[in-house]
Amino acid sequence: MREIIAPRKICLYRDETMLSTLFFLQQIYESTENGTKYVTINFNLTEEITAAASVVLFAHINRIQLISKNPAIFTFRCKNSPLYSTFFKPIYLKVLEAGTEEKLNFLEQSNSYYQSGTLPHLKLPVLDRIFEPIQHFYSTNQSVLSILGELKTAINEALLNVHHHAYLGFDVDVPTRWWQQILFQPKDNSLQFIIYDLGIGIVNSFLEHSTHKPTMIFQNKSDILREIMKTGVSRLPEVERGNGLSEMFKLSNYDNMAVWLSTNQLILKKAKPYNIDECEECLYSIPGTLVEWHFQLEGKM
Amino acid sequence: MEKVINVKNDFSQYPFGRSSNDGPNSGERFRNEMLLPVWDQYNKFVIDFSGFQSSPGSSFLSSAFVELITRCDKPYQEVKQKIVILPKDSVYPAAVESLLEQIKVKLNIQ
Repeated sequence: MREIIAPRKICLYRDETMLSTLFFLQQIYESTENGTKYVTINFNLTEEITAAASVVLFAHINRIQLISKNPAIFTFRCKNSPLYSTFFKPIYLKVLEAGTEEKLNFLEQSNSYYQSGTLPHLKLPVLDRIFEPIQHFYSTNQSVLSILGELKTAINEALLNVHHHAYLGFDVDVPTRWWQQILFQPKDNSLQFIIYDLGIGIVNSFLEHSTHKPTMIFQNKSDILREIMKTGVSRLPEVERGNGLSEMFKLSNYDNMAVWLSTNQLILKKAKPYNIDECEECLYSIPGTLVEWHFQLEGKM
Repeated sequence: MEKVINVKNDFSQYPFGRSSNDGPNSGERFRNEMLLPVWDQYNKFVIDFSGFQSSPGSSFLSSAFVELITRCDKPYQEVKQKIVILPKDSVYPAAVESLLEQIKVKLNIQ
């Protein structure tokens, strides 16, 4: 049996931890090559797992479990991690161990912070259930309720984008799967929602699957992404298309909201209160597309 | 004569997506079942989105209303005049208005 030691810090937000986090993912894939049936992933040294990285790790482990049809391929050791009692035991272990459709459904039924799905319309009642206690918590604050409504709309559009665009070129029987996380911290009035897919990325989907040949006046991927995000821009010819992506990011105009997007080796960050609006090509590539919305529902960010 | 449609009660609690590929309660079905069969019988359709905590999104709204113009050959002005979106103080009227405005520009409608 092979053992992989997880890094102390599993994080994709910071340059200094991104490489070790991606190397860790690569080791996980390599460990399962050549028909290896059992791999131990040892988190005993892990002191920190940040939100986006936790969803990415969930997705890749889950994908290997599902594709290999071996839900027991990974064993997780974490009892000596400082995160064991606050994170692994109550939340994350059952997420990492959800290697079958039945267990993924159980995550959904138990309103787990972490879930997965393949058909967006089936997730709508679940999202309502997840958001209900948050809406109840802010039931007298109309502006927060309005923002929560807009976030749900943005999530709907993001899930439709995964369904329609993320897995173009894959076999038709490959499910258009995404992985998600919600984290609401009432004490801090903070809410974050993450959606991650393992598709071809927003820029590649547009460039490689446009029904019309896009005019390549933009030379770098960063400019192309910003162009695609504009209202009315679509890879499809119908004039009524091209509003979904802009609707996903409309919320970034609020003073209490930040967005983080990773796709096709690009990292886009928007946070109005800090005057951050940047989109940079980075050295390392996180597979697929990840979008994270982060709200400060009351008070300042 | 006007027809009032309460989307939540008369159509679905979960209106979502553009076409049947997106699920059973798409904008396409709304347009085909709630509007088109009686389009000529009414001079006003009051579409009421009361009771929803969030908008069904641009895919649904575009398919339900804009595609009356782009796919069903209804004149832009007729759609503008016939469709009234409620509640007035919600995000829905502006969202539909914005989608119709985009089409007006793209199709160069005077």
